[in-house]
Amino acid sequence: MHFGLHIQPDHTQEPTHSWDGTVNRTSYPPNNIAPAGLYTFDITVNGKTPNGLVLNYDKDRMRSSALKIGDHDVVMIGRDKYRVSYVLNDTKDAFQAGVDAYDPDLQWLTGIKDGTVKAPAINTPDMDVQTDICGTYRFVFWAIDDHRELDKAHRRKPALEVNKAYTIPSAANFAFDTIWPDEWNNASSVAEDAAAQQREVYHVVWDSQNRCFRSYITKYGEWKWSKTVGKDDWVYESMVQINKNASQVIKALNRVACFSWVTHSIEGSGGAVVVFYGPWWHKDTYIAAYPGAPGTAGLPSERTWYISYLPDLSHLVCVFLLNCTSRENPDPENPDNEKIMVDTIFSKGAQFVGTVVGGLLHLVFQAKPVAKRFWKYASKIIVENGGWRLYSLPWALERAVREVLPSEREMKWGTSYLTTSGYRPYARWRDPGYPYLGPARGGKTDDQLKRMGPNP
Amino acid sequence: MKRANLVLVFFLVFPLVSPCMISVEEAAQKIREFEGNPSYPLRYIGLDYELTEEQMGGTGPKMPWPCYFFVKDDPQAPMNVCYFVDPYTGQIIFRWDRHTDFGILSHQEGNISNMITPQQAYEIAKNFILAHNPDVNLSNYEVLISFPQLTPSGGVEIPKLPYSPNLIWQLYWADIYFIFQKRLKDANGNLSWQIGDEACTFQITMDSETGKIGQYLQRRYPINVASTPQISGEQAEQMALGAFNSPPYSPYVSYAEVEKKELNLMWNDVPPNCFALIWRVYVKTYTVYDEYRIALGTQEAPRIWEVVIDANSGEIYRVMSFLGSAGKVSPSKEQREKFKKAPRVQIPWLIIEEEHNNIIKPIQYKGKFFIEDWQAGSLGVRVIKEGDSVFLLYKNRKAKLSKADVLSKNGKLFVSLDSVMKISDYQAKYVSKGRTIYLQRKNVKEEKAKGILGGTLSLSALSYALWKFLRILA
Repeated sequence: MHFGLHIQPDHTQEPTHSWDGTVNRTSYPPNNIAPAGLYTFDITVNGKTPNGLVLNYDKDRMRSSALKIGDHDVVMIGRDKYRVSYVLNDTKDAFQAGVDAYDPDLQWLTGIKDGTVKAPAINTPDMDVQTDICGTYRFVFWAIDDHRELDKAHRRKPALEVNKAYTIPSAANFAFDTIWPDEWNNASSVAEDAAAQQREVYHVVWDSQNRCFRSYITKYGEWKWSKTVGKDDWVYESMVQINKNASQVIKALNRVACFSWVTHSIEGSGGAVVVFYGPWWHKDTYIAAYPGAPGTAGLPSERTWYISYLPDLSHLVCVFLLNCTSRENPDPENPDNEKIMVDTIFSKGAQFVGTVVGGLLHLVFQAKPVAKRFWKYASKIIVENGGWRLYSLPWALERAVREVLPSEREMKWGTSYLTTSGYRPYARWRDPGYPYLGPARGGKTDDQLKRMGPNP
Repeated sequence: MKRANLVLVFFLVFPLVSPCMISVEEAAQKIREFEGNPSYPLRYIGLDYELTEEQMGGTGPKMPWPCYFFVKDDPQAPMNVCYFVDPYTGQIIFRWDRHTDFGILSHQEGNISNMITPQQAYEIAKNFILAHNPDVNLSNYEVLISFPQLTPSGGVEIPKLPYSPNLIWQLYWADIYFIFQKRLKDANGNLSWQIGDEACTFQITMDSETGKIGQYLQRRYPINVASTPQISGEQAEQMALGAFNSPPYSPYVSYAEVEKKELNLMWNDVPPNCFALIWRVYVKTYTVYDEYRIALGTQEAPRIWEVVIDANSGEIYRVMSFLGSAGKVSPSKEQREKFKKAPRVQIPWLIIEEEHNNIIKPIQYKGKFFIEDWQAGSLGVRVIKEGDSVFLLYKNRKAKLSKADVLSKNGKLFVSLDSVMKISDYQAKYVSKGRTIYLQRKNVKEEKAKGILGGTLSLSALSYALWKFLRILA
């Protein structure tokens, strides 16, 4: 970094310093200009003789040499409630320490400070921070030492601040609205319902101090992306995405933490190719698992996006897909066709991907109630009779499918007998145990979004 | 005891209209017999469709008609054991031990070694069914078991597979789910008729470590319908094509062709004659109108529909599409002609009520919509007959119907949809072009509208809504 330092001629006033924003790196960022953000710095000065000799015994620095802030972290423990933790490393207690929160526009929001702060003990205060705007919030940890004896002027010195970014977890739910007056074919209410549930996600933690479980509510919110690489020109997007093109779906997949779609799949693809509909004057667009996947033959290349081309998707916490995955006689040579989309998204790093395989889904009879139950069970805790229950994502999926799909109110002649096993949940996840939707987490940070820019 | 008396008084004053239904006290007696305890304490809560999921603690069995909902009267644990009793057959169609269910959910993760074996689980399920249904011959039932399996790619699938004593658990799962489904075979031992999930089935969920029963679902319904259709398959195909040659699909559907058809059963009434024999015909469609391509498909990605037709009367029950696109359609001249020549049919009106996932087929009389008394029940409204008068009951409201709101037809009682909506706070959106009536509770719609005004939609969504609104005006 390149600082300009201005020292007053009479040496009686405090020096002032400014930074032109350039950095001494050439690869990133462009033009050596650091991206907008919160930066911390130290200044060291050495005395010089009139003839320019450096006086090693005559030096000073702005920051405390005794106090260091470490192991700092931020977790969301409730709606607009955060637990910050940090360790002050020093030989004696710090004089003061605190945490300031800044919004995605780098404006100061709120702060907390402790009086006498122990070192080296872990501090875990809670903060109320209004985090309504989607984006990355920054928590700056600061502390002031109590080592007057080390400073020539007997001043207490600040430690070098450290910060932690916290991105509000985002969600995108895609569905379609037919415009046809027969509105039962509209899936838009599925996306609206999913978004409503995602805005209030419960999770439970064991409070070892009080020996009881405690529940917290966290939230997924809107998502955003940058129109230009490296710039803050944000475009904000709703959690509910109706009649959007496949390019918008890919954009969301690259960015959000929680994702869902309800749409049509192409016959013979086993769910490996799904269709997205923009406004009626647009042509349909397609998302395929990968080139050569079943059903991809003949797809217009300029309107087809492939999941397998996407970079890392490990920011995805939960992906839930609903579309018809197979016909009643799936390709016997490729019985796993219907799982390709889930497998491909999972292979890109997503932490949980779930769907229903095994047959055609009626929107009203099956897809809507399955989706409704899945998001409800995954996000809400039920407390009753002194007990509580909270479904992990695989359990939420299994229960939703079990409750809805057996209740199809028809019975078939014997020829369909072999499809008795019918609809079944299919999921993949990374946790060694069962993953939960809460606490809300994941998604790309503002810095990552800025670097990604307007792709796909 | 006082509560039980109150319930009885209520029903003496307002007797249910259908003589086929058992009373609340008779239903309670069925539960006591089921539990083998004449003094088993019970509390009647209400008919399931009158209650919310929160009031029932979860999803009920969702029969097409309302069922009695009871809980074990235990002040320490008021919702621990729940029962749903079918008022027409007196069956305990659903017993839910929620204490066990909560226990299952408390150990969603665990070790396979702690699970009971598949054989032990099967014996527990079989013995439970036989203990409560000693007349059942389980050799007529196919047994399916649902448990998670690892796929070759490493995913987890939870299929329902035929039970075999040689099964081995692959993954830990906190509950085990059995399905017993009745199968009928012909004289040669071949499967002649699949009695589906709804007609004759027992389903049991148990704790995989203790074997305690969490959920027990039972359905034993008579199938009083001949398996030979009066309407031939060819006629059904013509009718299915004709559906898309008729309003509201015509003239927007440019082409339709039948993919396949099958004979099914469908719930169509209350017991004892609760099933109809139907043709289910799968049809592909596409349109050349861009604005309707999502609903009707394109030639590249046609839409798939099912047309449900009564195989005896020829009445069309419903026309509904799937979330799948059919493969590309390239019709020949003959196929186009076949579609064009398919005679027009009457597409029925349907009532869609998503709160309970209800689809009701109303009838029309003198320009008004009427639904049957049991169908009103699935909207949470009870129809009561006192002498010559007919009343509607909804929660603590009671309304006497005028003669114009009551219709008797073929020994069945119908009430006007307007009167049902009025008493139960439903509002309707009639989409005449789509032959559909959407029902929504008034407060639900208002909240939704508030949400939209509250600014949760993006600018693009708002502009889209505006665009759609302008289209409707146009």
